[in-house]
Amino acid sequence: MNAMKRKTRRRADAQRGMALVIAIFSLLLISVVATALIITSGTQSAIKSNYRSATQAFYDAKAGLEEARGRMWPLNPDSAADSSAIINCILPGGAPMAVGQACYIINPAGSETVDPRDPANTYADLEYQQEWGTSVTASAPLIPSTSAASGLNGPLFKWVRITPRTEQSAKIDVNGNGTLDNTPLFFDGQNMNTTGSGAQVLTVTSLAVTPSNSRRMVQYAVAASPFTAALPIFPSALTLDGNGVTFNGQTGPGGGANGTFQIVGTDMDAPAGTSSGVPAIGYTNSGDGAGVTSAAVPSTNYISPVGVPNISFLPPWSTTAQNGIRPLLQTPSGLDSLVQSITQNADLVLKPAPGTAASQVDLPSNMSALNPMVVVVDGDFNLHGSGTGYGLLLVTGTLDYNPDAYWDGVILVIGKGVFTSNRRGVGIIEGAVFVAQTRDSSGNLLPDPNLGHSSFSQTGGGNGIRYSSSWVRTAQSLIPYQVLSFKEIAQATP
Amino acid sequence: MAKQQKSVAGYSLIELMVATVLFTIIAGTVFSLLLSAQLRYHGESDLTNAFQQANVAMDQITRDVHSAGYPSPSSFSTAALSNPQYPKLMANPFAWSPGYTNSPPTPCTVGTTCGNFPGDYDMILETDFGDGNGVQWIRYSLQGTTLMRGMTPKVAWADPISSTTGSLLPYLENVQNGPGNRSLPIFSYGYGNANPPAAPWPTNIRQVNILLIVQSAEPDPQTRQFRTITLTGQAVRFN
Repeated sequence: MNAMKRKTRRRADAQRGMALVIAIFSLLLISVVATALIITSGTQSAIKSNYRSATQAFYDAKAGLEEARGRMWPLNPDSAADSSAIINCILPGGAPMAVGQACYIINPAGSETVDPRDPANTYADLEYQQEWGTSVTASAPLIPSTSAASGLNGPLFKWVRITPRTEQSAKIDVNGNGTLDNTPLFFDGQNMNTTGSGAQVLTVTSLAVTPSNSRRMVQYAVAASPFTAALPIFPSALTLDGNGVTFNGQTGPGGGANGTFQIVGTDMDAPAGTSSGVPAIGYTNSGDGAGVTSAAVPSTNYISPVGVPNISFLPPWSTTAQNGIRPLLQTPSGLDSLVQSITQNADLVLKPAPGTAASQVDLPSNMSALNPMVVVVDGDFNLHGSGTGYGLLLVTGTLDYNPDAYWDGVILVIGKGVFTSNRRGVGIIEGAVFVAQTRDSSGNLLPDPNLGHSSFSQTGGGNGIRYSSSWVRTAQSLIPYQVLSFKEIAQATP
Repeated sequence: MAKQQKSVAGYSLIELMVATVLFTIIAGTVFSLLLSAQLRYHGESDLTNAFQQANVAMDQITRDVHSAGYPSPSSFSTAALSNPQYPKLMANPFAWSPGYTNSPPTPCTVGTTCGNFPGDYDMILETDFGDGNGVQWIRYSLQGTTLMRGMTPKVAWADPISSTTGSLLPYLENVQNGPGNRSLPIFSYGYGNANPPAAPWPTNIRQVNILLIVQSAEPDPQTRQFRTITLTGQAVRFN
């Protein structure tokens, strides 16, 4: 019995450690199984996060483009205080950007250095060489981003570059002459050109790199709005665009409560001691000259600077006719696209019911000289009362003006093209007025290419129209830069 | 001598049998677990492959739609309109048929007169990558269960369908959207929120909704069933 016990104990001794081996072996097998499962699900989440990261990089890059576009607009409420750096970049000394000029908005995360001008930098701008065939100038300014709000991380774009745009840099033969020129491109509200007509086209390029190293580069071509691009300077204080236009000015005695009716093309904002400006009245069909001139009496009421005709024919725009009418303003469809573009950017769009008219009481109460606005009236409008409106007013129906009222800015009457006023008053329009007929009396768009017969009539009194380059500029600045084209530039992820 | 005999005494038959049975049960359990894990791994990695390929395709389609229509007609001067090469230089966002070879092209209505171009399973985009090769036609076309992609330079007044057919190469396999399978369109189109609504013409397409239903290459080893994944995406054109 004793021997038996001993034997059992011995055997147990010999097997001591076997439990450990079995346990380790089992654990090993289970680990293999678990690892396989983890790897599989890990791959799936890696694919998902890869896609997420690439998508995030795209929107980050786009945020960079939008920051640049927003800051080009001087009235942008989010960046008015710091947009001067961008304005100085895109309009150096008030002139267009020249080929070779560039500036960057940089947006480093944390303490990293972002210098796209430096080829050794992680975020070097290698695309510049592709576009321009040279390396970027080392003096290109680096402007800090304003995207990050306190307490929130901004988008993860690294830099945004602003350059002029040329055929060569865009690799597009804009004028179709068979060669890729290297002169800055302009936009006349409808088309790009190499003749300098309208507003300069800028290329905005943005690079975003996410923490997981997804890179996306996207590019905009931007220009000032079609309104600014088609009318960078107004051709005259009162422009009657179209064929068979009619004009009626006050002919009776002025003074007192009747006001002193005048249409003045001389710029009221010209520096003291200098004189500049535009014709008092411009018309676009040479056949209408005699009718307009004979109605514009007494001729002393129609004033323009020395050397500029008081009443002038406005030819189609060309390099030799800088005061001409750009293509956008020559056809019903062109002007209609201008109306749509302004409507999209309006602070207020009024749509009076057919047969009724909106009036000055519908204007925003917070409109002021310091807060000018874009107001579109899709229908008839009565500008009555004795207050002052500020900014850009676009009326597609009939504009009935009671000259007790004032307007500082630009009035566009595009649609039915009727400006009428038969009351007396002492109000004045400071800025410019543009009238064109693109729609018939039932509201149908006229067929291209001929505009209808716009009409301007102010027979009761009032102080008329006075050209103001400052108010015209203010009205132009109310609409942000617009995107002309977008493309994505393929980026290899290093 | 007796001591030595004791120490080499073997296991009893019963002990051995119990040990063997126990070992078989444990080893059998572990190996069956391992086998099922391995089968599962194969099945999952097959699905993961399909998922990855569908993701890449979705990403590429999205990028192509983003850049479709670059450069737009507004990127050219009015003088360029008279250049006979103009139609080839500028990009409509989407090419279509019929009516595309007319001068100027006349738009068809998506879903009716356009037929399949653009349609549920076929889409032709136009864009210039800025690589100096000019505007390219990029076509996606589902043929059977294979989504094909082809790219060829745009030719003025040519038919985009016959021009791109030769360039189509397999891009994504085992796509189940097609008629006879799920019959769910890969591409459906949106025309923006304009008021009044824009006509459903290829020129007015603002966004493309993409639905990809992709099946794994092999059936799942455990269930013997093919597994599918469904990816949806929306791409907006910016030009």
